[in-house]
Amino acid sequence: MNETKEHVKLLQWFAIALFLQLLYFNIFKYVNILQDILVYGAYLKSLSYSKKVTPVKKYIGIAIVLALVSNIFSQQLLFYWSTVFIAGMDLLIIMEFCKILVSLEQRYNAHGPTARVLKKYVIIVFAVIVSWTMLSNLPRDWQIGLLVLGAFLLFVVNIRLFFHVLSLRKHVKKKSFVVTYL
Amino acid sequence: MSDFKKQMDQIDIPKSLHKRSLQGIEQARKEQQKSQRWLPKIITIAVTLAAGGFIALSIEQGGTNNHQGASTTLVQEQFSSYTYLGIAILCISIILLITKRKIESGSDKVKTLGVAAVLILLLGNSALFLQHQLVNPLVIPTSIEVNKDEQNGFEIRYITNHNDHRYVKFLQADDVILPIAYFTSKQDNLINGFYYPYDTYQSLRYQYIRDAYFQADLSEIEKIMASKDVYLILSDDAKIKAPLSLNIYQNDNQVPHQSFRASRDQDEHVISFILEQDAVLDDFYVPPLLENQIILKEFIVNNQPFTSKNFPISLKKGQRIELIIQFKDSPFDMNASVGLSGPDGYLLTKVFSQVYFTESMVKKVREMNE
Repeated sequence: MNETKEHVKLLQWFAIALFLQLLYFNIFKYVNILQDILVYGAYLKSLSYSKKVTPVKKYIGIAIVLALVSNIFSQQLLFYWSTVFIAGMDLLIIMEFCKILVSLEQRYNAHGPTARVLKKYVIIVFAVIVSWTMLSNLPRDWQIGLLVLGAFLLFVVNIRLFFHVLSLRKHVKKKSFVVTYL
Repeated sequence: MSDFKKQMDQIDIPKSLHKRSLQGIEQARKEQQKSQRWLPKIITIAVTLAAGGFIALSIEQGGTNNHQGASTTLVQEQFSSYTYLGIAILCISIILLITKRKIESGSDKVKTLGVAAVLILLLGNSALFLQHQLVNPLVIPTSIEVNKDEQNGFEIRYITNHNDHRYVKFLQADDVILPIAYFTSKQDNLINGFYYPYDTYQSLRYQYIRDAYFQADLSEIEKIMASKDVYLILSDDAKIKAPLSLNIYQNDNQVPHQSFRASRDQDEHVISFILEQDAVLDDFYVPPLLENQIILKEFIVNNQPFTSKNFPISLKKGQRIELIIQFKDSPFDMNASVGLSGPDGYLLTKVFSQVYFTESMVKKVREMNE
């Protein structure tokens, strides 16, 4: 396959993964496992178009095991740990993918704002994760409030990244046409 | 300088030497990689151990197969609260050490620090969380006075961890077994994804205060009164000790009166009586089992405060007396008669008091149980 086409595919599957992450199946028990499988499957598919060596597979493995364990054993402390860890793993995965995005951007002279988008993404998600580490010692109402606020913030930053990836894909696709017809 | 460089360039390097140096560089690169490889392994092991340890401890404390009585609770509980702190400190120092090594070995500083911060926060919060968990559910000390009627109902409250899905099934005292009165098989309830049992009386940060309601006839009550220890049996057949004191209301010779009650705060209650007959009163009356727990702070007649040293007092018909009583060893629940006694009979009224719980109250009940 043409390298540019591969890059377009990579961005497409990454966008699909981000889109699947926007849907909140988590409210239904056990359905979140299905969502995880879809999201991580899309990440892996996206990664298959890149030759870069990344620890993403390791992160995905850890996140899936944690999701399974926390679904099987309904322990309170386990819930707090797995919530934080899964969010952390998702952040690490996105950070790895953004490294690929930056290299693509440089290759296609996109001058896009990936670095800026990523910086905001990391800061916001990190703040959410830090706030979630304190869930175990907060009153119920605060817990629910923090979970909802965190989920909302994650939704917003994910949607921002999703649109950024779509625009980058469009840019790369355009370049590929130029290459083909010139 | 450029002359020197030219001269250097002119010197031929033998091919074998060039190969040797290339091999040396390759070897050095491999060894460098080797020295860095153990770091992620250690981080994984440390984190897994920490998480596993905490989860194992939490499962143990919320355990469903805990069949010990209250006597074994003491040792376990004191031991564990220090253990959690110790483990947390140990894990945090390991994390700090690994973070330092990782930064020194040249890995992404911000990422490493971020991971370390999250892990430390998680460990610290988990230690705090586990310190506040109860090993076994606790029963709130309860004092109840029942009538001589055939059937009597009484309520016992108990404290469980949020995560403890067990509920009370029976009350047991020697050979008497009372089933819980409003028992339904559907005790679980989920609100916003959180477990919230139906019998919850009050929800605290780490625990629920829950209700168990029992009905007993007079013979059963007498048997419970005679038995030394009373237990609540949980849904998994675990036994927890219930500090319950039952008492039968015996006093038939009451001085005719009207009474009013009000509570000033958690520990202080005001009871006022308006007499409908002349009477002489010379003592403060509480059920025998509450004697050390309720004291008469003062009483007010004609807007003048008196203490128990001023007994006996003589009161006329229509006169008002106000008792200010204090609960000394709260928290405890009570539903019993309190008042004054004298040669003319008793001047009593039933005081119903249930503790409004705070975190420190739970700690107090915990200490009382120990």
